[in-house]
Amino acid sequence: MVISLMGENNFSEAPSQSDLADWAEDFGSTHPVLADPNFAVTSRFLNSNTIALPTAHLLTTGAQVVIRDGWASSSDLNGALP
Amino acid sequence: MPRSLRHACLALLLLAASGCDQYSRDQGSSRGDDDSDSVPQWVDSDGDGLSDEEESALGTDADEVDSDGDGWDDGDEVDSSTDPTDDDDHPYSLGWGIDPCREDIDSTGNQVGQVTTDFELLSQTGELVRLYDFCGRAVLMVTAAFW
Repeated sequence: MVISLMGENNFSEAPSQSDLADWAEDFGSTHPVLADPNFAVTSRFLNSNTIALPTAHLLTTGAQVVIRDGWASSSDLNGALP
Repeated sequence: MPRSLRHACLALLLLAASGCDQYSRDQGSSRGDDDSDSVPQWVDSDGDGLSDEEESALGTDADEVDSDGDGWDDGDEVDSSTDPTDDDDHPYSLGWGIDPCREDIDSTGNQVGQVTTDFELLSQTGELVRLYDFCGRAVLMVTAAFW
């Protein structure tokens, strides 16, 4: 399962539903594209006070954190699959 | 007629009468069959895929396809692990599956190895999406911005 967390729109504001819908349509995304105003959810996983975008967080079954504020390799992904 | 033959004929008559009595009782049931005494009846009055007995246990209306009026049939809600009595809880419109474990997750923190806290965020469909709905699978979350 992939989830996109979008922190800001082009005007550095919280993304609206129409922003999210446009993004999903432009990129053909059928997975959840979610607004994360002020990067509030993302901030839970940051390793420092700065956000380098894009960044990824990987959870395995049971919502257990495997990777935070980094990137997931194919072996990471395979290891997280149930 | 020999006595033994008379007894045999009497036994046959009693057996036939017993069979007629069984047939009469079956005719009176809603969906009778030959095994009605051993197989429970399965009745789905509203045709939503749940038996009336299941609907009684769930607290849904056995005569209403969509008991909570949220646009999703009761049977579809049960199949999707959502609550057919709560109009705020229903399957996602784009078909993202919901895992039954979602009510059994207890957060322990956001460090590696811990169970992260739940969230509920606005999606491109206008629905609120809850992280724990996907607790039965791996989830890759990618943070980005439009700019």
